[in-house]
Amino acid sequence: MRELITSWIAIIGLLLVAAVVTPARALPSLDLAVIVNPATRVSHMSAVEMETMFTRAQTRWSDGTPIVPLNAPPGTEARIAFDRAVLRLNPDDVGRFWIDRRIRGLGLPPRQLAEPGSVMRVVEKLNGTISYVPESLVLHNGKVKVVARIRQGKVVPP
Amino acid sequence: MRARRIALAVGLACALALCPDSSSAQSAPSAATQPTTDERIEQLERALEAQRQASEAQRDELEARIQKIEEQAQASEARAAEAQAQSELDAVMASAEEEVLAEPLVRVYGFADVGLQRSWGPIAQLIPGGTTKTTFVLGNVNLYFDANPIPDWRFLTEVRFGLFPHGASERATQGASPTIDTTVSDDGSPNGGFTNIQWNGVLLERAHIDWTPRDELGLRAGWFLTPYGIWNVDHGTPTRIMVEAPLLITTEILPQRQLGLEAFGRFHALPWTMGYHLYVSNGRQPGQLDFSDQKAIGTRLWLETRRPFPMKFGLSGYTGRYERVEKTIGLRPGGAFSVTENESIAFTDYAAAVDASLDIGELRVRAEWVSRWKFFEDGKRTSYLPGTFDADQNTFGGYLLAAYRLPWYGLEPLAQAEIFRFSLPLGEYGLRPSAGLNIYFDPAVVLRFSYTYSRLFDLEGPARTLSFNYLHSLAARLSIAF
Repeated sequence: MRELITSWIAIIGLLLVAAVVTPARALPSLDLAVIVNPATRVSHMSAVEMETMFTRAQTRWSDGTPIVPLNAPPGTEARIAFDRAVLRLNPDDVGRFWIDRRIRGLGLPPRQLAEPGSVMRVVEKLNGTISYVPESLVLHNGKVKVVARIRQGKVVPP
Repeated sequence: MRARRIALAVGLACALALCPDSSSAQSAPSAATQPTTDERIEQLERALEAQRQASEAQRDELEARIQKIEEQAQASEARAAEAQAQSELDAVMASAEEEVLAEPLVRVYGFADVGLQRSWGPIAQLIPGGTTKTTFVLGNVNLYFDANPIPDWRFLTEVRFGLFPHGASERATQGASPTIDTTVSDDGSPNGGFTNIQWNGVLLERAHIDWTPRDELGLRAGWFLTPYGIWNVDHGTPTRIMVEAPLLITTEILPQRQLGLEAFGRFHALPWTMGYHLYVSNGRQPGQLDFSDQKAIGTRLWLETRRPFPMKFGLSGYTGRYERVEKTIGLRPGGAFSVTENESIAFTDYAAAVDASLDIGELRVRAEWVSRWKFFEDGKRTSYLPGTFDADQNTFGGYLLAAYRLPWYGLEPLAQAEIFRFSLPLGEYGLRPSAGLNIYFDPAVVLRFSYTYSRLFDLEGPARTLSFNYLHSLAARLSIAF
């Protein structure tokens, strides 16, 4: 019994040491504009509505058009700010959320686009898309529709 | 050009200076009216100067024109280069966007886990093929193949690879049986087949085709995980909170998987989402095929929200008929074949399940309960011991699990209590308190530890005073999702 306890304590101790050396991550905050394709028949969206779309709980707009959410890559300032404000999840929780859904067979997370310029172009051209970009990018752009803004970590009307 | 003109003027001036006599001789007769040599030289010099200035003006004009043309050419080249660069950029952006938005034909993902475990106590000694010593184990190697060939259609299969059946015990028959040895020669090996290998197994966890034209209605056909409770849906090691599966799962109070047709969908009443599953299947059967037209049916209703905190509640039901059919083929007088089908075992299952999961901050709570009623048909009962027949049974199982994520180093201690009722020779009821620790190195990598104490006992009738009715189990699993 003593050998058993010693060996298990040794293994747990080694793994705790490994966990301790895992680095912590910074918490950025960025003001964002949530944008949709201009043909989309919505003028504003709440945090709950966006949450159901970006968690893939809802996959179609009210007119039946497939919803195409586009995320920023994990770890980017925009992604962290959006996930924290809309999904109310930190990056690790988001990672676990999608692993859980994948293993349950419920599907994969939204596609990712790194460049905000590309996001704007895709949202402008592709019906059903919804995404978010830094707010400063949409100040003089009338080609996409802004349905919500994220300021100081809060979802506010457009 | 300018240098040539200057040289020409200097040459002309020198020539005039060198021949004064001839010019004076020729002009001598009219000296009074003819200009003097100096005047002529001056005239010539003026003419030369005027010519030089005209030439220089012409030259300047030409140079200006050349410069203008050159500037135009450069501007044109710059515009062409800029247009080409923009075109290339557009092409790169378009391909990148297409690449991002295009659906791959098949996506492959999955999870794997390896571990260390030890079980000890009298029950551990009774398990055929089991060991009571610490042993490393290969848990799951599961790959998902997920295809969306056309919109709204999906094929999903999950394949588990394992070291089974080598070393495993035969479970088709009740009671102890020898372990399986799959050692064979590797006839394709370069040493002429002297190499031994143990062939291993592949298990289809699920394989189904989905058609989902709307959120409210989807159809699924194939081999699917029975939609009930939490564990059977969570399914994989990275998703489960506890290492050891509850006995309500391992004893299959409800079948883990079924072959049939399922309708599913969800409705939104934000912040709530309601969903349903409704299926018809072969149900619980000894094999793949159903020897009766009485299909199993089942349902699950669930209600979920993420506000003010994530929570989900479910209610499930199932009913189905099990039958074991044995065929006897004989020969009638006259040469005709006779086929007799004998239904040796038949019973009807009714089962109900409830479940709840709450994520309140860092606290995760999971609870589920499954009850099953099994009614045999007369003359078609199972027999565990010779000369006896099993009675109709009510089995159940339930657990309550609580886990708390600490703010340090991804640590998550947890505790679980499970109770079950299952007809066993060692006791009718069981209690399984557990404690564990999860360490999240990353969302995709987690190490789970658990200790479980299981004890069987009786509540009704004469209690069996057996001393070999308990089990300790210690398990660790390192899992990775990809």
